[in-house]
Parts: sequence; C-alpha cells; structure tokens
Amino acid sequence: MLGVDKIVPYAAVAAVLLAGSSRLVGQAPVENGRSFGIAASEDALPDALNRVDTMLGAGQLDIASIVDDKMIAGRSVERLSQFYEGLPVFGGQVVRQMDGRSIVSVTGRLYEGLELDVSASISPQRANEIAVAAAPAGAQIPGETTLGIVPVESGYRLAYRMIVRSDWTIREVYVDAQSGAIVRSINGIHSQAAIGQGNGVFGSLRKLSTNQASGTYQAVDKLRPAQGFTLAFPGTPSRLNMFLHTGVLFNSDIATDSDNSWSDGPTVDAHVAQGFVYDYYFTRFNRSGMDDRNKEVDSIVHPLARSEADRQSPEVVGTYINNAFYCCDGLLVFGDGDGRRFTFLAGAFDVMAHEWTHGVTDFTSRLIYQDESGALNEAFSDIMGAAMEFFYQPVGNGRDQADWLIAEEVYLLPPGYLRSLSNPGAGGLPDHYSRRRFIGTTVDDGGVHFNLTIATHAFYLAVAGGTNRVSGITVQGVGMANIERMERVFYRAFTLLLAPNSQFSDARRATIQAATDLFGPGSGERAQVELAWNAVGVF
Amino acid sequence: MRHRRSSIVDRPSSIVAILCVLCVWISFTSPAAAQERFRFAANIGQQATTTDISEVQTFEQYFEDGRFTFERTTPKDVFYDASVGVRVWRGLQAGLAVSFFDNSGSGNVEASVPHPLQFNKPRTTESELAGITRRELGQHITVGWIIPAAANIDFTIFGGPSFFITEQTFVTGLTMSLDKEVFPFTTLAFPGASTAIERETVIGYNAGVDMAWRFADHIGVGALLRYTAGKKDFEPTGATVEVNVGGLHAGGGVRVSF
Repeated sequence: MLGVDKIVPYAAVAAVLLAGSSRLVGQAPVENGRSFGIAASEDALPDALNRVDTMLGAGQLDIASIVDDKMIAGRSVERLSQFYEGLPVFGGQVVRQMDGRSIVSVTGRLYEGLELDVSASISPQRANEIAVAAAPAGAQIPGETTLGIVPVESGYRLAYRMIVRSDWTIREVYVDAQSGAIVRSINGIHSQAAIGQGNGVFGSLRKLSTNQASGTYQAVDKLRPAQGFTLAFPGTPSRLNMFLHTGVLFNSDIATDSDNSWSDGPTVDAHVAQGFVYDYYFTRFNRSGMDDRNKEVDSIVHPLARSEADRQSPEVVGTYINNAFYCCDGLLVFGDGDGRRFTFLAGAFDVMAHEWTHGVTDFTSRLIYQDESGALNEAFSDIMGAAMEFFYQPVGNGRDQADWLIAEEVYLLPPGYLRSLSNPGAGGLPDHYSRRRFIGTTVDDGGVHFNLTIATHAFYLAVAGGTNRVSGITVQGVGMANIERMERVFYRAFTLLLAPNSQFSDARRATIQAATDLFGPGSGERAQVELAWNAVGVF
Repeated sequence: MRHRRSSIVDRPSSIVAILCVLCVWISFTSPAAAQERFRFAANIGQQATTTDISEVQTFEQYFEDGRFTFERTTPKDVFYDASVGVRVWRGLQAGLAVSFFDNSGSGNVEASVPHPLQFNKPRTTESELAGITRRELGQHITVGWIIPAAANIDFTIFGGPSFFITEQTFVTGLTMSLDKEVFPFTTLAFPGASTAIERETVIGYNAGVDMAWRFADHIGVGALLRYTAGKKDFEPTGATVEVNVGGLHAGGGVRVSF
C-alpha cells in the first residue's frame, strides 16, 4: 500500500538539477585533467606509435582487451588502458587497430601532466561509507571498489571508484582517497530523457519467442543464441526499490501468459523488439549480442505503474514512468508513461533500439556518460535506433514506419517526437557544435540528451544529405540506398575506435578512420563523413 | 502447374485415328480371321508415357499461412497385362484385360514457410522426397474386331471403358518443429514431410490394336499397343489434386487360343 511503499525521493536528484540550473551559461567545454586526443593514421601514425610505445615501455599503458574485428577479416582492436604509478587513470585509453602485426590506426584519449601522490589516506571501506552516506538511506555497494586517478577540472585526484545502488538511482561515484570528498558522481542509468506515457501499445500483431514451463508460457526467448527475458514488474514502488537496491530479479518477475496469446502490449513489444535488435546487430555487423558473447538481456516493463505518476515526485516520474533506460549489465527498463507526456515506452521500436545500444556501448567504448562523451553515447543510440527502423520498416510517417525521428510513437506532446536526426532544431536541439550547451554542468549529466543531436545530425547528413542551417555547408550524402555503409562506419567508430572519454572531435576522426578502413581513403563514404562533420562544425 | 511436352502418344484422338486407318487398311488387305473362340494373352511391356501430378497445399505455421508444392512425374516403366477375349460373332470379340503398373521414385517438394518471429518474411525450402509410389491396376473392358492379315497372323482392333484402381503417394504436411529452426531464421533446411497413400477408382477408356501370330495350333506370340487414360481429382488432406492415369502401353507376350 501507499503508506508502506511510499517512496522517499532521492534528494540528490533534485540537488543535482538545482545545482545545474545555475550553471546553464557554462557552455564552454570543460577540460577534466589535461587530455590529448590520439587519432593517428597515415602520416601522423609514427609519432603516435612512438608515444604509445614509450608509455607501454614505462608501464603507463597496459592491454585491457583484444577483440577480433568482425567487419574486416584479419584485423583486431586492442584497448590499452592508461596507468599512473600502477593505478588506472579512469577514462584514459588508447585504441590500437591491428592488421595482423601491423598497426593501422591509433585513436583514443590519454592524460598528461600527472603528478600526484598515490598514497591513499583513507581505506576503501571508509570511501564506501562516505559514498553510501551521501546516497539515500539503504544504499549499497554491490561490486568492487577500485583505487585510481580521476581527472577533474582542476587536475587529477587519487580516488576510489564504486557503484552505489539506492532508491531510484544507480550512480558511479568517485571518492577522493585523501580528503574523502566526493569528486565525481555519474548517473549509472543511461536514460532516454523524459520519455514515457500512452494508452497501450498500438495493437500491431507480433510474434513472440516464449518458453513453456509448468503449464504456462514465459516471456523468455530461447530461440536466439542470447537468451532474452521480459520481466513484468507489478508496478509497485516496493518491488522497484528492492530491485534497485539489490539488483535481484526473481522468476516470478518473468512475464507469463496462460495460453501463449499475450495481451499486455508493453510486454509484447519489449519482448519482440529486444529480439529484433539482437537480430539487427547479428545480421548487420555479425555481432553476437550486447557484449558480443551472447549476454542475456532482460527488459523490465511496468517498473512503476502509471497510477503512481500522480503520487511520486517529478524526478521519480521522469525516471521510472516517463522514461526508458539501459541500467547496467544487460538490463533495460521501459516506463509506462503517465499518459499525458508519454505512453508505454516499450511501444516504440527505436526506443528499444536506443536503450539496447547503450548496452553495446557499455561493452565496447564505454563512453563516459557525461559531457561530450555522454552525448556521443546518446548519439550512437539514436543513430542505431533510427538505422534499425530503416532496417525493419518501410519508409513513412505512420506507425511502424521508418523515419528520422526518435520516440515519435510514444511521445504525446508537440512536436510529437523526442528528437529529430534530420532537423534537430525543430525540437530545440542543436544541429551545430557552436550551439552545444550544458557541458561541464550537472544539467542532464552535461547535456548528454541535448548535444547528442550534433552527432546524430552529422550521421543524417552523411546518409541522406542536406544543408546545415548554421554552417550553410551542403552534404550530398551516400543516399538512403546506401545507409548500410554509414551504419557500418559509425558502428565501427563507436564500438571499436572510440575511448571512454572521447570528445566530438574524436568521433569525427574515428568515423573518418572507420570509413577509410571500410571503403578506402579515396572513397565517397570517407568524403561524405568528413563533410558531414564539417557541416555540423566539428573538426 | 507444370506443363509437360505434348507428343502424339499423349493425344487419344491421334491414337484412335491411327488405329482406324490401320483397321481399314487391314480389312481390305487381309483374308478371313482364324476360327478360335477364346483367346488368352499375357503381355509385358512399357507404359510408354509419363504423367505429372502437382499438389499445392496451404498450412498454418507460426500464426501465418505457409504453402508447399509437391510435384512428381511418374516415369515410363514396366507394365504387366493379361486378357481374355471371346469371339461372339464373326470377327467380333468381347474381352477383359487387366493391367498392372507399379512405380516408386522421388518427387520434389518446395515450401514457403513463415518466419517464426516475423510476419511476412517467409523462407523457401525444397527437397527431393523418396518413396513416392504410383500403382495402377487397370481393368479394361473391350469390344474388338479380329482382322486376319496373313497366314496365322491377325490383328484385333479394340476399345472400351477402363477402371483403374489407383494408389498415389501425396505429401500431407511438413514435419515442422521449433527445434529445426536455426538462428537467424532467414533460411530453413527442409524439415521433412509426412506422406500418405491415397486410393481411388478412376474411370477412363482404352483403345488399341493387338497383333497375334500363331506358330502352333493354339499358341503364338503377339504384340500389344494400347492407349488408356483416366482422370480424377484426389483429395489428400483437403486439397484437390488432379491425377491422370494410364498411358500408352506397348508390349508383347504369348497368345493362347481355343
């Protein structure tokens, strides 16, 4: 009941929003630490390699992962994480593209000017206590706490990193290992801002992959190599908060139906769409699931009942009712919508594709969900969301038809969609780098849902062509018939060549490198990508 | 529907015309017929024409309609024949012949099977199916005219209704199951098919000429050229399939007369 389950709104959310509102003027990029981009191929490659080799020899870089390149046979991608005095420099990473034993390109971003004492004054346990104390009551730290170097505005700090789960939130927190201050707190919920509400999911007939067990049917996809579960929460605050605290899911959460004829629209759409997204990644890029190792994916619908919209705070409604988000570790959540701003978010295929792609990012470039890297994280999700619509649906403006809009099927207020890749300005979002905002502020994690359209518009121009309103630069584009080529370019760049703290300029270089890899240095694809970034003012 | 090439032996009217011409020619050129009353014949030969069947069925799979087409051409093969004739007046003979044709071989199944997880994304798959049989037990009632042609040689021109007890293998369905689906489900290996043999009596006709040469008082050898045909719609599991039976029988064997 309400009395028992009454939610204590997470005060920090409000605090963050309030703090951010006073910094709206802070539009200039904020440099955390002193980073330098490495995006070298052709002429610049020898210098970059020398630098990387020197750092490798000095123990400042170490191989974090090596993955085979599924798009170009014989190639692989090495991720080299940056270290200082044996401790990880959070976000510092170089991506080395190999062709056999030859190095094709080096991209990423490293930090320089590191001079600090690496002796921690407080223990990891004390750091955990500090982080938990700063979170709502009942917060927990389920995983490991890692000591490392975190770049901050004024330079660098020795800090502990941990994931803090609490009511309504999952945050990545950095606690100064000497002073005990919280130096950084990043939203662990990669959300699609302010999505949600509606009157059900639109009656389209779908097929579901289900699992029969104990005389009932479960929304469990066992047909695909990666299992997919759709979990129908009861919509109560108590169940949601229990999950947020513990991360535990029960068998009883799995959506079921007695006769395999499903009637709950969000369950149907979420279950079907998550399978379609898996199929898309497999078909287009030979990718086996979010982590490329067929990781299980779980989608939660009805995290909080629509009826709670009038009882909970705006922050809670904005996160769990009028929203969908990728949480972590293959978990997707789709709000019911309050029926005024949004309807059931699972009803929009591009929303599912968007959130699922956050998972791909989480297992590849791990773009930090803040400022420009966060906007790139969001941008890649929108790009893939739009691309998947064109992959599955006929072009058009109706329901179940492909367009350049995001969440148009579930967003009920004008202009009738959340974001546009073709004309971001129509929704009040930037279509040029000069119009970026909120970077360095706490508003929207540094404008991750605002500035993304600079990159998504570049993708649009590279595909469909057009003239940027601000720069006046016209891009021919490769044409809709060749959209697959640009999908491959951006997928390659965003999953293989970008590093966690990549900036827009890094994305430009990575996509140009990807186009060169896939189509050659003199290709039209490379030229169109370059021109598209020029048009949106990213150099 | 597949169309087979047309040849002269496939056209009953052509056969009848040829036989009529032959009859007229023989009647003008031959002496009187032999005087026996009963004649028995046993023949072996080839059913020298082919027949096609084409079965189209729809089925429901994964909440959509699928479709398969089963086609088989029954090839030329051996037939066996036995007959008895009774001279009823001058050269007029009434008779009954029984023929047997049995062939077993392969047919082709091509199917369009719905995608398990997407609407309007059917996959096509095909396979040769072995063990497809056709059996025809023909019973031919004949009225003929015996025409002596030379010493100990005569021809019998005959015709009449035929009744074929016909057995034909049909495909009754695909043996689909989810465990035969392989991700990403864009293609489908042929999942197998269930079959059933349908039996029907088909009514048709026969016409032909039999040549007999007696090299002893009651025994001889002979040759048979007979065209038989019949047609009926079979209904395996609800579908309607037109089945043509018979064909041109060309063979030879012994003749015994009394």
